[in-house]
Order: sequence, then C-alpha cells, then structure tokens
Amino acid sequence: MYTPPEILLRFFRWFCDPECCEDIEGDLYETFQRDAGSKGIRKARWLFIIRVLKLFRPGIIRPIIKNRFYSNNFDMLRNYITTAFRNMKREKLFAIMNIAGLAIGIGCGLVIYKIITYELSFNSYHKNYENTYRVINRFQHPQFGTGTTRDKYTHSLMHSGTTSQALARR
Amino acid sequence: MAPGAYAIAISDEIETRLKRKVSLGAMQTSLRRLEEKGFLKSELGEATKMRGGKRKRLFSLTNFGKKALKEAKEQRMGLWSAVPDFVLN
Repeated sequence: MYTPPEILLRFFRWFCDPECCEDIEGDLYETFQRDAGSKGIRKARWLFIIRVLKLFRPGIIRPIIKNRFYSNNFDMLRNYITTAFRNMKREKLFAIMNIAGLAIGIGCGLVIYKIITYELSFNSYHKNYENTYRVINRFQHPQFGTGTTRDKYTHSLMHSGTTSQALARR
Repeated sequence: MAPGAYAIAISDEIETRLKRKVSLGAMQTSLRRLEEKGFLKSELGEATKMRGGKRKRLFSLTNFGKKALKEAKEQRMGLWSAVPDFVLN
C-alpha cells in the first residue's frame, strides 16, 4: 500500500464540497495506488499533484453562499418581485397608469433639468457672472395705441437688449 | 450503465473505447451536473482498503436519462439517414 501526500489530501478536503468529498477522495486514492504500481512512486506523486489541482474547479469547490453566509434577503427580494408582477398582471389598468405616470414625471423632471442647465450655461466665462445682469429696455411708441391690436407689426410694446452708453458708463 | 459504474471505471471505459484521456476533475463535474439535471442517480457503495477506507459513489441511469439517451440516438440516426449516398461514395 502506498500513501499519497497528506498535505495535498488535506488541501483537497478543505476546498471540496462536503457532499462529494468522500467518494472523490477515494477515487484519488485508487488512482494513486494504480499509478504508483505501474509508473513508480515519484511519478505517481507528480500526477497526484496535478490531479488535485485540476479538481480545483467550480463544480467541486464547496459552495460559499449556501452553507456559511446563508441569508433570507435574497428569497425575500424574490418574493417581493413575484408578488409585484402578480399584482401588475391582475390590475393591468392600474399598473399601466402608475407606470405611465411615473415615466412622464421622471421625463418632465429630466427635461426641466436640461432646459435649466442650458439657460444657465451662457456667458459663464465672465468674472462675476453669477451677479451679472442684462438690462432690457421696454419702449412704447406713442403713435401706436396701447398694444392691444392683434397685428404684431403695429404692436406698440418693444424690447431691446442694448443699453445706451451713457447708462453703461454711469 | 453497468452496475459497478463509478468515476474511475467510467473514465477507463472512455480511455479504452474512445482512445482519449479524461481527467478526474472533468469526470466528476460532468457526473455531478448530469445528476443535478436528473439524468443520473447515485448511491454510496462499500469502502475498500484500496481506496483508503473511502466509499465509492455508484451511478445509475434514471428513466428520464434513458429517455433522453434514446431521443439523442434517434436524432443522430435521423441525421445520418438524411445524408445522401453520393456524398459518402
């Protein structure tokens, strides 16, 4: 009888799934016996090392989550999701209204945000741009009434973005 | 599968019949996956001194596995018979 290296067997027992540990260890033992008989004990040891390292693979390594850190959170989350889907299936109109409302709300929020960032993006290279304002003049030409007519060319109220130099100089 | 089917016996069969090597790790993982899928069932055999006092895991086919095998064979035969004669000659 030959005995395989004890350190490697211990390493194997450490990583192996306890459910199938015993029978694979037996297989390792048996192949080692056979190799030692036919190829000599030195070569058998090398083959044994390679075999153990090849067993270090996902199907055989003990499951980490299942045994040691089992938590109910995943199952609860799955339950919440299934119940949510069942409710949606049962009350279709309600679900559609809810989802559509939420979608429109989020969409409006995003659009408003984009518009505001666009409007705030101008002339930000000035020194005190946060406290810089633009003066707009409103004119009302006396010749054309009060500006209640519908025709825009006879509209009396006018806006102008330019300011006279006299005002600017102060 | 024969009554004495366990990992080493099966890989020996493959080596003699198909002339290719199978590593123990590959054998064990595929056997376990087949068992998980319900094609195989297994039980622990008796312990021998040759195996360092460890028991064997003996595998056998389930009815579902037999059905799957037959289906696979029929599909292959169907494909084989679909090959025209002049291709082979």
